[in-house]
Amino acid sequence: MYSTDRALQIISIQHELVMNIGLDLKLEKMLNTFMQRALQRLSLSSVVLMDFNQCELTETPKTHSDGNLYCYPQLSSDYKRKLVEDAKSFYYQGEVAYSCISKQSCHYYFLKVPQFGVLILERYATEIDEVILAALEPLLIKLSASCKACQEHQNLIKEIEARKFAEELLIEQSMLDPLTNLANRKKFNLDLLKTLSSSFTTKNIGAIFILDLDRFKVINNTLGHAVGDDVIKVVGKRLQECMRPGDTLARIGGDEFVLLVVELSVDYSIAIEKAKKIAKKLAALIASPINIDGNIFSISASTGINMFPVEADSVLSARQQVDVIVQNAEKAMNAVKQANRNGYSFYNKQLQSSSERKTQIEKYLKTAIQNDEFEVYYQPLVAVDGKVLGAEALLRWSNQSLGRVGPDEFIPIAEESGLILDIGSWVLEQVCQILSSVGSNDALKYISVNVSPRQFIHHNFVDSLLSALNRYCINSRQVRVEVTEGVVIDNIDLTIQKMKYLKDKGVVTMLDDFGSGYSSLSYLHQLPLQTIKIDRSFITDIDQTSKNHVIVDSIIDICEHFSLECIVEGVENSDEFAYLATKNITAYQGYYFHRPMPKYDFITLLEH
Amino acid sequence: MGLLFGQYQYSVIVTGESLQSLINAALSSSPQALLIFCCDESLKNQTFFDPILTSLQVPVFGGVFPAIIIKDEVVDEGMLVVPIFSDVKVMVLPDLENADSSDVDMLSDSFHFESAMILIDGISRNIDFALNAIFEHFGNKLNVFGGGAGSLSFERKPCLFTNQGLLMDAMVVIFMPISFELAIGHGWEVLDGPFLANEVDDNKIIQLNFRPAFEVYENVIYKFENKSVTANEFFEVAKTYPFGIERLDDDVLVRDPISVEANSLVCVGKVPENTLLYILKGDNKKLVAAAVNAVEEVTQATVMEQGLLFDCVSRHLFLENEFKDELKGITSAFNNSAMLGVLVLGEIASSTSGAIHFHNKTAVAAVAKH
Repeated sequence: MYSTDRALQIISIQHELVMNIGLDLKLEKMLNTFMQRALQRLSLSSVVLMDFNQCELTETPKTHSDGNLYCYPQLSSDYKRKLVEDAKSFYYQGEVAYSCISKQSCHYYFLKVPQFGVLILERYATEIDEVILAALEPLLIKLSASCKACQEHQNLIKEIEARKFAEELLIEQSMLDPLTNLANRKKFNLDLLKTLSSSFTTKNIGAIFILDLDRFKVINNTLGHAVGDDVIKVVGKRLQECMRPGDTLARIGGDEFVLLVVELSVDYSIAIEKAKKIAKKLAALIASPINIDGNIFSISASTGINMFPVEADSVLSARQQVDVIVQNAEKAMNAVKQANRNGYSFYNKQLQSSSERKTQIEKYLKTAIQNDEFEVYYQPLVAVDGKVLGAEALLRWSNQSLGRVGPDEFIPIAEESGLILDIGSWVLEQVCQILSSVGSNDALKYISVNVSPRQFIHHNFVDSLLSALNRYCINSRQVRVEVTEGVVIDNIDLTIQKMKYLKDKGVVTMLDDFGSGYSSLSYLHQLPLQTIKIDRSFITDIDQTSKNHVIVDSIIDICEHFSLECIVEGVENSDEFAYLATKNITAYQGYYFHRPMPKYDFITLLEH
Repeated sequence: MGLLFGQYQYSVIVTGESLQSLINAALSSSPQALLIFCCDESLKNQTFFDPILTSLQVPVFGGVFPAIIIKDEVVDEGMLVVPIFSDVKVMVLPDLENADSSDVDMLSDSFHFESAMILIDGISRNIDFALNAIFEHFGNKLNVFGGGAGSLSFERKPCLFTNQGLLMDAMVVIFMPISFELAIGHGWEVLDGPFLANEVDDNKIIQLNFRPAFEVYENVIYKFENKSVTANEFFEVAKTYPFGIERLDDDVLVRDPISVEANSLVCVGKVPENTLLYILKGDNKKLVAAAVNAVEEVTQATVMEQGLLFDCVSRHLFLENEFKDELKGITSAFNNSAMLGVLVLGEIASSTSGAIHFHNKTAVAAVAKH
């Protein structure tokens, strides 16, 4: 060694090593810097730090950073195991600050790191002077403090990360549909917003597909919600097959899914073609039979498609576009529903104008009663001999701006907007008035009133009906209630309950348009019905169409079996009547006998 | 064991044709690998190297150096292709400037090896980091030697030969199953010190004893040698007075100061902060004796076969004609066994404790043990 100032040498070793402690907040990195420096400054072969705070000494460390043993450089497992044993013996020696074990040409120095562990220095050939070892003692206190500070910091980081992870998990869960584990509407909207922002710049056209399962309520109502849920899960899984990276599939309603497909093309016509293919693939995936506990379901969906970004007349923000895109896809989907279901449709301008007309209709409907724009027409129901038995009250509307608007157009809008409740009450009032004015007339046994689903399930419906009958002193048998299968399907338990109550009060319930809708026989026997009206679609050209013979004959048989009155509507010519006249039918309705007529014409008819 | 290397092939002309011809000649002895040393001065065109190197079916390694040493001769032009008769595993750590320890961790250690030759781009900034990472990963039982490749002009350019072609800013590690004994000697002696390097930035000494490093340095040189040191002609004087980093109970680690930047001294190789530094002085005879003695010590204790010498280019510049004596002494210590070597920009060697050091102004000889 060179002739140096010994004191300066010792101080410089202390200083150099102390200055290399605590240079990082990560324990492993901090120790690596310190050990590297110590190894070079003290001419060592290896440096090892054992952390006695972290785990038991008996544990066998595997690598240089396995929780309780830090080595520089890496050491073999056998070597480390032996060091652990020696360190353990040293640790339990009590107050001894350091000790040395010499093996062959190597010297191992064990130094206590207060309240932390043991530092092991390996030296080849030359021993370390005791004065130097003593000089290392003060820096071991700093090493201990720094190690503990690093551990506390790491624990804090872990805690923060765990909290962050939990928060992210919660956010993620709040974005998921619990039944299918697909995205929910919130997540879908966010993804669409993100996609829109990028599609503005990339000019890439994407599409959203809103799929509503057709007649899904039948499954829920007949087999229970558990089965319905299983079907939804299967459909969700199948739809996932259509997804590419970057696409989003979400469940946004009971039986409603939405698929966001990004970057179809920058060319609009190519994008449309691709969207058609996807729609067909989605339909095929859904159409494949679903087996749930042995029950085989064949279902279909009505799909509305809207391409984005949208061409808008006014400038829309991305957020507004999200709303518009979804609404438009829903409009397209509803158009499919109103047509034949089981298909797909792209949103287009026509749908937009039909939507605008709907808005107009709704606007004028609100004032139609007070402006006296409604009129009730009556279409007689006759016996086989042509004698009037009753009539169906049919609403007609004529508006100054819109002209005559057919019930097929305005009734669904009234139903959707809730205006049907007031309109229904007004119709009932009109029917009661006419019944009251014609008095007890043998020619007229009853007038039937069409009641919409919304009206029927309204909590006040039965009471207001009975109250009107009471107010006009009308026998409850004189007013009949016509409901469609949709009323039944929407809420079978409540429907049964209300029908029973009406029956108890003497009001007859008729099931309208039978055969055109769900036609599930599973609920027919549960309903306290007295009358079924066979849908007009089976009656048209019945004399020429043998297929309809089977259906109509079957329904007539069912009515006989359940002791129900059977009524046919839409009888338009003598040939049709000739076929039906031989059947066990209670009443006939149609142009062949009478067209719907205004109140006074109807009264005149009755008087003659 | 057999010989480490066979009959080397030398050509004073460095072209694609001459390279191919040397390689063909070297391959005729069916070696397991090829070592290529090329003189920087002769390398005017580098483009022909890549297609030849990448098409070789045997491992190839080597580098471009200021000069080649063949026995006791310094050859500063031409190139040398040496057939290697040892199983070698060549691993490359590219992009040294941006490498981290995980890149070193990816180097496989499934191969059984005793030693490793490291050839590194001598101008790279991350040399100390890379050597530390190798030590940390492979432990203190791996005997390491080698040096820095590149040009004495300190111009950054590709300087390492591998099967991937000619590389720059890289480290090439050649693992070998052969045992080597290392001789490390420099002969520099303390002129003054110690000084506390209280402020350092990697390879730049900013303050010594809390004063500007250059001021301290020029005072010492003036006081002891009566010489003035100026920033402009710094290296002319400083090549005689390097720094020595103190290591407990061990020889000092030499650091070559090469320039002055705003009163700070820039060295070849990292200087740790808060370490003790000495200013050293070189005496030609002592320098030669130290290198020769170090090699003699090893060769006398070892039944040796052949040797590889990595001698510092600045020793050659400092010793001038007497460098020949150093080579003669070393060759003689080798007892006329084959010895090849290069002048390098920094020497690499494992110490007796196993730690890998980057030296300056030092001679490192790796003696293949019988």
